[in-house]
Amino acid sequence: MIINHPILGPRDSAEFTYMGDAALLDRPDWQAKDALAQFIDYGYLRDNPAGPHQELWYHEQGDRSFLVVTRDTTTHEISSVKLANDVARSRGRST
Amino acid sequence: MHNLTVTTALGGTEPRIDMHGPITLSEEPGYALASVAARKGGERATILAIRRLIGPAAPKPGHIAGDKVTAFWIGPDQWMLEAPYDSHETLFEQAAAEVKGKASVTEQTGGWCRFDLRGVGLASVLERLCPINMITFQPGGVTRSSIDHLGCFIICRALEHISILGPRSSAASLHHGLLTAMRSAY
Amino acid sequence: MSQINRLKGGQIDRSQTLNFTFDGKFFQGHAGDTLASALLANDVRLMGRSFKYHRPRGVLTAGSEEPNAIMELRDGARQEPNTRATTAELFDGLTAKSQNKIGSLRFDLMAINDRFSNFLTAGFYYKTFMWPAAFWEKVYEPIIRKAAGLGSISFQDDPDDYDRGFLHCDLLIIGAGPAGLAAALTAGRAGAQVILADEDYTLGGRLNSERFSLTDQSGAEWAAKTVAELNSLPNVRVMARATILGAFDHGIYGALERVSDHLAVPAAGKPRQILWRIYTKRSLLCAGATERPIAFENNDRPGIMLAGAMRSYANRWAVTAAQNVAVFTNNDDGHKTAADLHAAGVNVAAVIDIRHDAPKSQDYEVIAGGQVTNSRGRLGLTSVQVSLPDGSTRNLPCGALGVSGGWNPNVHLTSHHRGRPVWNDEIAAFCPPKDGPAGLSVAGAALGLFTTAAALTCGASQANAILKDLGIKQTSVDLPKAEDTPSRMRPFWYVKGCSRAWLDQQNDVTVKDVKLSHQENFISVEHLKRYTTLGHGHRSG
Repeated sequence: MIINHPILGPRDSAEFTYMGDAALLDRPDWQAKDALAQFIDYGYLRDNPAGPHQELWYHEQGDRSFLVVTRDTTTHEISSVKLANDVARSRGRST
Repeated sequence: MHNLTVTTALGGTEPRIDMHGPITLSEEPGYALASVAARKGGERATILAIRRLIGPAAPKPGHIAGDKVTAFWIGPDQWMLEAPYDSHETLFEQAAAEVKGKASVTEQTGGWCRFDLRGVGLASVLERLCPINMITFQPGGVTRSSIDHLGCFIICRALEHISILGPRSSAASLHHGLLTAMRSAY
Repeated sequence: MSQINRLKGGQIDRSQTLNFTFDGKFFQGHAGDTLASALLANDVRLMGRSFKYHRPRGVLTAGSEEPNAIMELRDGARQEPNTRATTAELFDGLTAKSQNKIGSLRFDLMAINDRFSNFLTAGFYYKTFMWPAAFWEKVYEPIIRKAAGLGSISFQDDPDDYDRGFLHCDLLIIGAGPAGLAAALTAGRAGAQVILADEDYTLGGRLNSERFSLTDQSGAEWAAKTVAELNSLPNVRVMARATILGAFDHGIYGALERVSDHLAVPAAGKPRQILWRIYTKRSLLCAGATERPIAFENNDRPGIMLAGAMRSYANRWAVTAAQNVAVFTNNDDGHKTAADLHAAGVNVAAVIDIRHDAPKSQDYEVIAGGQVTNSRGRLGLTSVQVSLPDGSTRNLPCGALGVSGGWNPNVHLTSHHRGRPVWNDEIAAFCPPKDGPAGLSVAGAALGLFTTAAALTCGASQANAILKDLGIKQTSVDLPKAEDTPSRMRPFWYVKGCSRAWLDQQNDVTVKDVKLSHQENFISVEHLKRYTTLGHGHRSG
């Protein structure tokens, strides 16, 4: 597969490490009342869609950035690639 | 007084040089390295500090800039500084003083080994090493990629001169990989 | 005298004589020969034993589709089993051994299996070796492995290096026949970054195997000139001995380059093979077509081969399998084989054409409306039995028979990424699907266009369409004039009433096995393949 890196352009997916569902970006608030239940969901439950899926790819053999890649799991078609940093900030997070 | 012998990454007292076909592979021990990573909010100040350190503007992604002291882009808001060791043994301290707390500076000299490839037809060697597109990889270009499972920086200094920076602890493996590719290509 | 089946002409270098051995016997061939062509030149038709029944087998094809002439090459640590004699380039000092036999190739003790063929039908292993379960590992498996195993390995460390590498291009052209060469010329002259890859060591595809001319030169001459021009262009990389083995996601292709397989020992520092990963913007499949046989009783004897292969041996390697040959065909293309062999001075006993309106010839007999119903000759063909239109039969002595059942486009790469080939009634074959790998176009015979003129034009026009997509300015290419006569054919798959008629010679699968599989409800092709083993092996998939 080729991942079109927002900064570096098309790169072979072999340079990346797959880091799982992009939902991992949204870490629950550890002080919430139902923090335990939320962390169980966060830690163990994953959707496994046949179709578009947002996932984290780490450019380990490259610039070391985390990317949020929207990939169709049935065709490997990649419809969007963003820096995870930008995605997190757009959700109002500081880092 | 201790009587220590300085050795290169490959363990010799002199840097190793291998010639094969049109290509020369040389071990380049004489460089100091320091990485600069902008802290949150310090991005702009870091860019200016790098400019003061190297002369020209801080390089954009995928590029290298500078003359005596050079900087190349290694990641978002991160650069590596490189300069001859003899004249810039204290590169790390110099950079740390310049960024004034707006960036984290790390001494990298002992972490890396550098090999330079010189000669006509380097593309035939590089295509056996990593997935860089040698048609578009031009002088001033820098990229990080995997060579024989080692994360390396590949720097195009001139059409017939490419530097490869790899982990120093795997210097012999990297050297073997480079030499094997040279022999396979020519 | 050695090389008694060597003809005049061909594209071999007679100034270089190469010595080699087969099963310990000493032979000579020439530079440019494959192991198969050199063996045929030396009147060796028996090249192997079949997988299950240990029937004597000879060469069937002249390319990578070969099921029978599977050998062990070299000795010592470099011994390599299961290698096709049809793609192995001859080199001085090559040692080759036949495999899958106990005793000698001529008197294989396992040939007894052939007598018990009624018990060894499809699904035999599944039905027989079921219990007791503990017997599987200790008793059944070792026996089956010994009896059905193919080549053997050396049990020594491989002394050679195998490399890998990465290439980038605008356009990857797969196959360097007329379509591929025309496409490469078009894209190359326009300045695109082009990679042209072909599995053969001499580029040109069937241009090297035919006698017709391109404008005023032979096909082989035009191919060689075109390759020379492509080699002179800095933006074109020509890769011979390189098989494109898969289409992967987002325009990545895998290629295996056999750098040193044609040498006794790789040059110092050089790898034996390189596995390339090719990053492409677009790709063009010009893989040509593969001839299909017609199944008839005992159609697997040494000397029975595809008609197109017989023609390749005569025209490219100046070799005939025998001095007296016949052709069995359902189409006009088969007649070309007879004409070419006749022109090369080989006696053509007859052309047996299933069609009543078969083309006639002044030079040899044409049996229109005839069918080959059986063959004779234990270790090599001696005659075929022909049923004539009036219902009588005739025994026709011949040492080799060329069989042509029409041609199938090589669609394989287009059916990666879930592409489903589309049936085409006109050529009675599957054609490339529209929903194959993204960015992959098809040209020439692989698209079902079987004349040379159509292949050349299609290659150039597909290349131009791709250049347009990539925003590269097109240039006009002067294509040579070539033959443009469509080959008529009548679909014909197997002779009625045959049972031990081989469909898959490598795995010993017969018409009867397929019928049995169907009867036992293994109907879908996947089940049929698993049950009968049809289509496993070198040509798997």
